[in-house]
Amino acid sequence: MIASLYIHIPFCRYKCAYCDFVSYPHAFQIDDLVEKYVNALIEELQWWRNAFPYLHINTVYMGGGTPSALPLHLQERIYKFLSGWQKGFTEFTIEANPEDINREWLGFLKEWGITRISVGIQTFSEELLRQWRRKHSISDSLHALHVLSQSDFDFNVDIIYPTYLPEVSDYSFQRDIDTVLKCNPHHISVYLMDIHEGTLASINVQSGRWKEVPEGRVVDDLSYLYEILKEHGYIHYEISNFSLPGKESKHNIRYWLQEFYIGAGISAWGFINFVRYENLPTIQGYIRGNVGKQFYKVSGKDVLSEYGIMALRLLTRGIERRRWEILGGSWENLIDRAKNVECIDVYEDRILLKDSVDCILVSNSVIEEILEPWL
Amino acid sequence: MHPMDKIRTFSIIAHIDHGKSTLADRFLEKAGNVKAKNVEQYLDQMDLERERGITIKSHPVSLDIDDFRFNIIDTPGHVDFSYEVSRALASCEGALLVVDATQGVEAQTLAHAYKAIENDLEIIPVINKIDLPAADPERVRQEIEDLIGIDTSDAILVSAKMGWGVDELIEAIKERIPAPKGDTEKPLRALIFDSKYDNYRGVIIYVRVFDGVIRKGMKIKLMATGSEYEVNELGIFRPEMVQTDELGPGEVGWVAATIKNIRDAQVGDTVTSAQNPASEPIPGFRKVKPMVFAGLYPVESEDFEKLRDALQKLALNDAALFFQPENSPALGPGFRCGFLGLLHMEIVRERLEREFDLELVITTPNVIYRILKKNGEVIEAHSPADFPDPSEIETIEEPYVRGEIMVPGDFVGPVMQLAHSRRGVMVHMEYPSENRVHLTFDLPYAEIILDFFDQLKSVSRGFASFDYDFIGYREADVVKVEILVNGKPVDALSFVAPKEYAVRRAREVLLRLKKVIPKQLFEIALQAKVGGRIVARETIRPLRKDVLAKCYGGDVSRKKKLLQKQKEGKKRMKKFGRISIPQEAFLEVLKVDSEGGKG
Repeated sequence: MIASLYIHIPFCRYKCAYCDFVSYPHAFQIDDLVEKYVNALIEELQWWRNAFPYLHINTVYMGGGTPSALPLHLQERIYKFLSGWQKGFTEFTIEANPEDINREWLGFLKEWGITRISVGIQTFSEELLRQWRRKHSISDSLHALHVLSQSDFDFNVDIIYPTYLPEVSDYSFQRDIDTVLKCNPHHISVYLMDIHEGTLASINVQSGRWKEVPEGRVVDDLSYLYEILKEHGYIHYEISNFSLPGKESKHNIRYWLQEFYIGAGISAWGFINFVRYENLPTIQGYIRGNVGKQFYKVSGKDVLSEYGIMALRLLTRGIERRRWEILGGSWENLIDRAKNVECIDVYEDRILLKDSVDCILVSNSVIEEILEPWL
Repeated sequence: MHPMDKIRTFSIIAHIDHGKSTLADRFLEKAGNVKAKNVEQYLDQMDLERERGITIKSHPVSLDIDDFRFNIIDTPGHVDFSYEVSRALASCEGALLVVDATQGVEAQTLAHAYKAIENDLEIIPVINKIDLPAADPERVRQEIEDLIGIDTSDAILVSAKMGWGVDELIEAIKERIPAPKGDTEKPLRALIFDSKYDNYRGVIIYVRVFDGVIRKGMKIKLMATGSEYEVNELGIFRPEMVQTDELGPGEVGWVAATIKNIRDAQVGDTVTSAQNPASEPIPGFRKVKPMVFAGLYPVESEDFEKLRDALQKLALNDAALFFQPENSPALGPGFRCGFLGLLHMEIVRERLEREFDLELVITTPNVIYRILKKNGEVIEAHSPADFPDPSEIETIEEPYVRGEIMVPGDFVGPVMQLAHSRRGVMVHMEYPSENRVHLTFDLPYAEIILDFFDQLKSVSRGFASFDYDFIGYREADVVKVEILVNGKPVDALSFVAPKEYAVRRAREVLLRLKKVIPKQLFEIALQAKVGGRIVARETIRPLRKDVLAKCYGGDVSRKKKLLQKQKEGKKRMKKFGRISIPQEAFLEVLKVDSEGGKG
């Protein structure tokens, strides 16, 4: 069996204003908590290794949190374990903050077979970085991108599109994108900021300190994004993701196509043999070796709706007839619905979400409209 | 047969919470032959009755106290059912007028008391709750005299809760309420004052016998319809139905005669003998006539048959519910339904949703307009769709009510303003006691059917009470306002409005629709048209922005939940082609701000 592997590192040096992920910003100050976590993580990986002796791991993705903030000796223990499990992976990505990226570290990663870096640049506005409570500077970001572009790693740049903005003078989304493009990344992800309850961001929104960006401006900015990236040869292959040809995130595509993957670490998700599971988010239990898992059987209808939700976000693939039918869906029924929905192109063997700003901005509604019978 | 001189038949008139049920409890205790120990137990109420604190069906009971038979006929407590109230009162010789000694007379009590007087009943004023420190029986006594005009020198002071004055009241009932007059030898005449449908026995009619005797096996005839039946069973209410062999003059009871359709045994009709029929029916019969009409449509068109079944089932027990299939170009197949009033409509809707699990769209209720066309033809418009082209209309008439409002003096200003904004004309104002004002207005019925009572409560901080009676049709200067969605008229959103406010209301309605109709994938144009002219326009901009959140690993579950929620939200909406319109939209149309009509 082939599966991918996701490893979750729930530690950060600081908490960003918009973040609602499980992360322990103070963990590095707590004695040996991080070390104990890595021990437990390796135990969990060992468990998977024993449980599936014939498993071939296709891609690995280490996310967080801030995996790059993990002390080197602890990173090394994880990489060592993985290379003992299997010699080499098709793709091995690690998420990093700009301030952690330097030649030495990249050299260290290369030794352990890491192939791809995803760097959280988010913006080039000094003022926004401050409001978002990110502790790196613009020069950290530029330096990181420079080092990466000189290396032979594939790299992705994460940019956030702020749906709410404080009154700052130095922000321009278009300038952010232009700056990114100068560094020729292989891959660019642009997300609209989601305001989650309980975050500093939501307090700023509620109090009115951050104001909603007018719809017209969002449309203009995204139109610019789609156009300029196309000009530079990037393929808009997923709603929020762009890549040079052949440089899509192989790991993420496996999620989107409902392939199997193991998730290790607290609050990681996995999907194996049509069972989806979630590791519980409590670190105390986890380091004592109690990996609480919540299982969800993904039944026939769910397989279809989940595949549909993901596949329509894949703008160049869409819902493929063959796959839909293999999963037990009726192509006729799907086409019947798709025909009457805006923003959908229907072909003989697939249906696609139209690659235009107007359509992409309403993708949730479009997807819901088409998949309603399977939801 | 109970000896006539020992029968006393009466009704208890009281406002909600003035102590009717506690008083009824005391009577039950005094009667030896009743199993139920309290009223809750004896009233086999619908949930809705309990929740709303109103009586919808009659709940008669016959109690034997000493050697007397007390027939108590509980009456429906809402103006929608005022005809049923009048028939229940016509079955009585007397009425207890129960007034809370700490509160005073309320509008609804007033309306029922007037009806009791019209029916020549002997009224015994009962001032209740005299045990409470705030009780002011003298003030209440004065109020009853001023408002109702009856002598209160022999009013009975009671505390139903403590049991004070109950024996005295029982003696007063025996002495002051007249015994029934009737003749066993005359041809049978019995008044139907209510009925209910029983799955096994068919329609059970509730009757009060005036002359003659009903016996088991006898052939009876219902005078309004002329149909004949054989009596299978009959009896009295204890309060459960107990069989007897016959019912004689003055007696109150039930009769089962395999009547299949409740419409054949209408309230107010007279039961007589088929062999030896009476020459004249008991006066006062009126065919039940719905006053308010609205369209009921299933959200899912496939539920049409289910809705028909449900309406048929409800109609078995509700002679006032009228319905006929109607096809709306916008909403698909449904029914145009007639109701006695708004409360009746609400009850029917709630029962359909609760008991039959139907999701319904209900269109704005409207009154019946009488339209005289230029060609001399007169039509009754039950819905805005029935309105002819404006060029064909000579005059339009609409139903008016006389509304009685009781309110503390401090709120007279706001109440008058409200009534005025609803085209009300004040006909009378009096001060029955210090700081209580009795206002009488003539109002178009159309102005009160939706939210008048809510508005009244809100401008009087809950202190005002309200009741009304129909007083006939008057000429109206009204026009039909059509609402168009993306250029197509949506009949279910159209409404009728006074000409002078029509444009302003059209604008308000569009703004409100704009708020309740969620943004969709395409632009929606809302327009209002009066007499062929577009008078208002609003645009619902298309949905532009879902948040494009990350969607990895476990995110798909979250995403799916979000989409499922979206789907649920849409379930309660009705589709017009591709446009989803939520149910609230249909009721938003007629809501008017308290100052809304002016302008």
